[in-house]
Amino acid sequence: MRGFEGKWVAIKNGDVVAARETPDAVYRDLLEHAEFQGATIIRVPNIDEPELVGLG
Amino acid sequence: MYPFVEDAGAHGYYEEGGIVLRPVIEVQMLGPGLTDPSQAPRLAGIVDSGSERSLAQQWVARAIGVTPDEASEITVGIGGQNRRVRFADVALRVSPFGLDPGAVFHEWTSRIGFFVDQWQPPWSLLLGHRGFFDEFTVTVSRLAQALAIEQSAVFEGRFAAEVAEVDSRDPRLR
Repeated sequence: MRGFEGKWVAIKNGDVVAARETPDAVYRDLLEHAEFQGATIIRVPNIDEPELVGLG
Repeated sequence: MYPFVEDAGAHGYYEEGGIVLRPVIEVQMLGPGLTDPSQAPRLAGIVDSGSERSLAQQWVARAIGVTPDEASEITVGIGGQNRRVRFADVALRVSPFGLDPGAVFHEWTSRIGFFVDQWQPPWSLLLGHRGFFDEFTVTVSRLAQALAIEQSAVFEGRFAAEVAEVDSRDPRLR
């Protein structure tokens, strides 16, 4: 996912099929492209974001 | 069974040379705003046995057309801050890894907490005890780098004697 830091993306079969600034925009992209159905939405952390661990 | 996924941001914290692996499964969430189940957003849900509740980001509520109940609002500590969540009953679907989610799935209904405040971890859904662990028996193996989910009754069947013994003891840490 290098190159997509800070973006919301949709991944299908290992490929990024949509990349946007917001999850709402990614979701809209998926609705508009039937071929993207089944893609999973996730945010790619920025390079300087700390590793998230448990409670807290 | 679901193989762990490599953390999307792991290249940012490779100090020890290790890869950060996460127990993540894909979950679809459904709500009244969807005209067809195929529109249900497919979310990366992190499985968190330390969380009592299952929580989702606010964009998901918008996408599926649910309005979390204001009266249900509570404050939880997560991600280093106190954050408000409001709850709504939604349907969730999970499919066996590698199979067509539109064809094979398990669906259940649960009360999910949606963040009121803006907070954007990589995962749009956190799967905790209420809403996930009360629906499945979950087995996690770091060595196999995978997690398995089975019917909830599997645990009691596997550990019937131990469960009976524990039931007869005094509560722990109380």
